Order: sequence, then C-alpha cells, then structure tokens
Amino acid sequence: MNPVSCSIFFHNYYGGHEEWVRHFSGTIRIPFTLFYNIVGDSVYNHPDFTGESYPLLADKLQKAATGESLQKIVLRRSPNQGKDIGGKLVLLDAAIREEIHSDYSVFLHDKKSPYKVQSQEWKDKLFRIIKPDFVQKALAAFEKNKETGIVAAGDSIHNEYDPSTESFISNNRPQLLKFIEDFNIHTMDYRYVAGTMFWARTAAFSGFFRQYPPLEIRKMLEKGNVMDEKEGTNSHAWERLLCWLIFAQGYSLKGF
Amino acid sequence: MINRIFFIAENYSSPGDLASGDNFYHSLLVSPPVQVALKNASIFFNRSPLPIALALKLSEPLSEETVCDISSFLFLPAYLFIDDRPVINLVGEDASLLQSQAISLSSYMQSQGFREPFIDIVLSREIFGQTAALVDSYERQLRIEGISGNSLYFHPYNEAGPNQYVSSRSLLAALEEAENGLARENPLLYSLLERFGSVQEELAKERRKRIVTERELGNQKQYVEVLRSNHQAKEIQEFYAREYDILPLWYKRFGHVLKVLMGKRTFRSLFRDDVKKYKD
Repeated sequence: MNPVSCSIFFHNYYGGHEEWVRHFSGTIRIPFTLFYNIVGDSVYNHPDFTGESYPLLADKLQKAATGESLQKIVLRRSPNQGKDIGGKLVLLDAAIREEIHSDYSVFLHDKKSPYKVQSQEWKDKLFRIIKPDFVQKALAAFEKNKETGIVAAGDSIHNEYDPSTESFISNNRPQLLKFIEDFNIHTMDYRYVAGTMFWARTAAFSGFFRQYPPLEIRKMLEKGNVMDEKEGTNSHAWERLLCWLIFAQGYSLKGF
Repeated sequence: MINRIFFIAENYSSPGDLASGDNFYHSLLVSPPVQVALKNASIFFNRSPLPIALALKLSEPLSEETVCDISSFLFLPAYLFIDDRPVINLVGEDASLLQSQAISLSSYMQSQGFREPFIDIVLSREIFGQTAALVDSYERQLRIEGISGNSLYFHPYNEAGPNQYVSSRSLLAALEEAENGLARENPLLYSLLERFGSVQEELAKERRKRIVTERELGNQKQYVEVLRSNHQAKEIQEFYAREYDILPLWYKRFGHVLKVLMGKRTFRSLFRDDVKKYKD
C-alpha cells in the first residue's frame, strides 16, 4: 500500500488531554496530524479549575506523545456551541487555514452521552475505528474502491429515512429539509454514522468546506448542552449532513 | 501592575521577547492590508508562550470574510481572554469607523459562542511611544483614579523612531519602578490599591467558576430527567421486570446452574456473594 497521510479531528469536552494524546499516539500506527479542540468553558477544561495555561499546552501534549506516528498537534479552544459538530467545524477551519492536507480524515470526540443507558458500550464501539485492525480495513477499503467516501463501525450506521412513511425519522426533519436546500446537499442515501465518528476521504468533503466555510456553518449551531430528545436541532441535523454532503459528491459508505 | 497596560508591536523578534506581568498585556498590531497581515500573525500566535491579543489598525470597513478571519484567531490557544472575554484593540484615526467595526466584530464573535468581547477603541494619538510619557501618565492615573477602568497603550515606534525601540521587558520594569515609587511615597494607598485589585480578581474568578459549575449542574439535571422519563432506562427496567423478575425462584436458580455448566458463571458464586460471579 502507498504511504498515506491522515488527520485526526478530535473534539474534547471532558479533559484528560495527555491521556488522549498518549492513547492516540500509542494506538494509531500510521503517520497522522492531530487536530485537537478543547471546549474551554466546560467545567473539565476551564483554566480556573485546571490551572492549565493554554499557550503552553500544545508543547506539553507533544511531549506526552509516544512512538513516532504523531507528526504534529494543532490545538484549538472553543466555546461549547454545536456539541462535537461545532468543535469539528473549528478543526476543519484550522486545517484549511494551516493548509494541512491529508488523504484521509478521522472524526472523533470524547463521547459520553450520560443520558443514554449504554453510554460506555456505544463509546467503545465507536472508538474501535482507530484500532490497528480497523485502520487497515479502512485504508484497504479506500484503496480498493475510489468511490468509498466514508468507512465506519458497521453497528453505528443508521438510516434517517423511513420508506414506510417516506420521511425522516428523527425530530430533526425540519432542520434537515432546510439545510438540504440551503447547502444543495442532494442524495438518495440517507444513512449516517450515529455518534459522528468515522473515517472519510478528505477529497470527498474538502470542496464543500471551501465553498461553505466551516465557521459560517458553526454560526447556526446551538450553544450549550444540545439534545434532540424532544425537538430537532441544527446541531443534530449536521450530524446527518456531514455524511450526506459526502454522498452528494458521489461517494459511498462502507461499514465493518 | 495595578492597572492595565497594552504593549502593541508589529512583531516580536522571538516569543521570548514577551514580558510577563499581571495586567500587562501584549497585542500584535495588524495593519492593512489586514487579510494578508493576518496570515503572518497566525504564525506568531502559534509560537507565543503568553496570551496575546490582536490590535487591528483600520482605515476602512472590514469585509465579512475578514471579520470571519479575525474571529478565527479567538480559537487559538494563545489568544488573550480577560474574564473569559476575548480582547481586541481597534486602532486608527476615525472613531466612528472603529466603533462601527467594533459592533460588526462583536456580533460575529458572539455568534461563534464567545462572550461579548472587550473591544478597545484606541485612537492613534492615545498611544504612547515614549517610556517616560507613559510612566508619567500611569503615575497620574494611580494617584487620581486609583484602580482605573481605562487601559494605557504603548507602541514602541509611536512618536519615536525605529532607533528608539523599547522592549516590553524594559517598559514593564519602568512601570514597576513607578509603582514601587508610589509604594514608598504612600504605602497605605499602594497597599489598599493592591489589595483591592487582588480581591476584585478573586471575586471575578469565583464568579466565573460559579457560572461554569451552574451550567454543568444544569446539564447533569437534564441528563437525569431524560433517564427518568419514558426512555431507554425505563424501557429496559420494564423489560427486565416482564421477562425475568416475574419468573419463580426455582426457575431462576436452575438458570444459575445452567450458566455454571456453560462456563459463563463461577461455581463458587452459587454459594457465596464475595467471589467473582461472571467469567469475562
């Protein structure tokens, strides 16, 4: 297989930065750039609680890395807006501004979902996408089929569309319909990766974000703790749209 | 320092040039064309060991794209926040232009989730270029206003020429000497000003912590409400009650023995509670 470049886009709400860097650098065996966003106003990350100095943090985290696969850490700090989607948009903005290009991108965040009973199991399922065996499968899938745009854990792939009612299932239907038109995201494949942790071919979405700057999308996302248990939200709509904008470019989804 | 001082410079020859002190802040001056200058500025921000703000020299309105570019700096780890609010200096000759751009920047930054920024409108004539003049003004400010809400600004090349560069370290040293002079001359006043400033900062810190804590408590309360409502947890509890709990005891015990025979459970756990029950 040809050498590949990879970017990890990781959004952190719950702290434990050095542990995360050690985990990534110890688990991922291909060269990668780590884009790391910290929610600065969470109780787990706020400097008044942690005593952490943000300007010095990037160097500190680089020193925490083990092995040689981690090439660079690009650190950002954001308010809590748009949940992990908002954080990932900040990091996509960083990648564009820093002009760091890579063949593949991996979207991750320190998911907890404390309001879900199987929170830990769900998190474990999603994080297996950076284990070495999964990484090899993902890279092979991208290499074998140039139309593969997303590779994800098979059991996290859901379908937003219900053919029996011919409509979207979740509460986010109004938001989805609006954004499909506003952003010209037209696809017949309404699957998405629940939890928004997956591998993507960077070329599959980079054009979209050159046309629609990530921070412009982030403006629309809700502040604070966003949940769609009762009503749809822009943030949850974008959890689906992040996959659909890739399908709209003619790419497909593969699950393992 | 008791009151705020901003040291504004176009560049610092190395990140080590940044002097560190309470209420002594650094701003990187970005002059038109702003968009081009911002690219170079980001390189410095990525290397800065101290928090630093942007000082934007404006002579015309900012485009929407430039407002977005400027706002992207607020996500950098080294960007200066005071009391959890981002800080920007707007520098120029036209006060009404600076005011209108302040509104535009503030609105965009708040749309990105930031608290209302501290945007200082600084007319060029208000920026000191000579150390002695700044120190003199600072001393007057301390004696007349005490703790002042107004910052003072210094630009090493303002009024003076390129041969008269003043480093932030030497400026900070001169200001500290001015405060020491006040401490010697009027120790009671100085002590009160220092103590008041420090209490204000402690109060601000506790207020910030309270806000963050209350927010997290609100989040946790939401999670508990969801778990208690007609949701997964309740569904799982009802399933357990219907499918298992109602079965007779002898049937459940038979199931325990079956688990041991299948290798899923330890034999000793049939008789004791203090041993490992399930095999991994």
